[in-house]
Amino acid sequence: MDDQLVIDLDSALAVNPTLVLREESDDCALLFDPDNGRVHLLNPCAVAVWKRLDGRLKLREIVAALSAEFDGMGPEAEAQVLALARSLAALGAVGSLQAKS
Amino acid sequence: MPSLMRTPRSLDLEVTSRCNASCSYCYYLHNDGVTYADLPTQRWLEFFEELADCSVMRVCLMGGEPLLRDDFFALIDGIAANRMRFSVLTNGSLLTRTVAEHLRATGRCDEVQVSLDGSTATVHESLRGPGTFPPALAAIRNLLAAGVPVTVRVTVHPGNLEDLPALARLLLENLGLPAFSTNAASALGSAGKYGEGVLLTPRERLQAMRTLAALADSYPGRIQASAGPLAEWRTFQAMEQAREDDLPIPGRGRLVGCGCVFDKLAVRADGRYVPCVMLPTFTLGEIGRDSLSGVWQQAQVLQSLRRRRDLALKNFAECRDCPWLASCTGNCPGMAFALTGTVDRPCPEGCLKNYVAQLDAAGESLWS
Repeated sequence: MDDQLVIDLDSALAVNPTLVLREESDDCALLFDPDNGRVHLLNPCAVAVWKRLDGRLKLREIVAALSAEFDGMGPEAEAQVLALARSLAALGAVGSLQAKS
Repeated sequence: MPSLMRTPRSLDLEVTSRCNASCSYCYYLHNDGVTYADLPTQRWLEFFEELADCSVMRVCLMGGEPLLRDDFFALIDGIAANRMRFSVLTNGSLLTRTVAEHLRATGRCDEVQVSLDGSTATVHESLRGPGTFPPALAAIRNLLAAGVPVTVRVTVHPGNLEDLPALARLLLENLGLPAFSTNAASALGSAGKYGEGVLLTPRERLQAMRTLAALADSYPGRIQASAGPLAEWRTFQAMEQAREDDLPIPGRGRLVGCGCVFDKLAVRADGRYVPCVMLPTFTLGEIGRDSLSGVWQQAQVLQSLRRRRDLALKNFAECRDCPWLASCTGNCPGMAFALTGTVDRPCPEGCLKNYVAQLDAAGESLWS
């Protein structure tokens, strides 16, 4: 994972495999970091993003996929997914699999 | 009723039924639910993989004495490899520097709880047996030296009442622990069979409450309790305040004394699922044979325990004239079962009305 990751809609991020996604119910999911015990709440859209962060799909493609899946995704979806990805990166929950040039 | 999560967040695992101590108040020893058979390493390791598949976050290793298992490190490593955190309950007798270092190296240890009942060998060993004090103290020091979060559990009994201030000094000042927790023996296991001199009398219980409450004032936030005299003191004070103010504590007046069945589960040393280590005869299935999620979502006993919250205290004859009814939780179902033979009753042990009457008979008052 990168120390200083620049994230934009062309970023292809991968989840930190140490973290545990715990889907407790249809509308409640936790992201658990066993290294420090911290827990973060994820909403259903965030879960859908998390599950697509495979290191290959670009955020732009994830937004497109979510727009097809979820009703009511508006033009702000790109900004929201970008903000989520940056938040997750700040937590060390996602990174890029590509080697630095 | 709260919505049920798909799998429990944590599990208590009795990884062994063996112990190298024979404490007079052990809830486990002489407990009808204990089967003295341990599972092989592989059964536990395979179960840990299932826990990972179910996104379980934490396990607590207990027993018996979990460090008696020759494969203790393998179990710990299996837990860490399956992305869980863990805690350990131990008497400390086998917790060497090597063990402490191994626990630290996993990076996944929430805490190790060491049992210590006195500031001296005489007090500690009065109910825990000869030779148990030095290794327990050494265990605490080994954990502190290794940087492993350590907590101490003090079981309050008639023989350590006078020693509690000295014990608080030892733990909080001399050893520098951030906090310790307290409870008291209950009428389960050995204490249930040999309670004389082990269980607190009503008057001793009051002394314990007052002593611990004063110590808690002297060491703010550093003396904890989820059961036993200090917890009861705090609960009883809140209930009395609610009665005086005619403002019942929200959510009470029903059998809501236990939330465990909504987020955790336990496994006996023989691999049987149980709702809680306090209900060891309520078997729900067996690890490896029955899936965790299936047991969690479908076991009739669990579902029944979860519906316990629907039972209003006003429907129990012993509660009808109780002035604290609206702020009461009915207390622990495990103790209710031990004392009344059913979980679907309030537990008499933590009953404020009973306790006030007992003190009255002894010429004492909780409120003075």
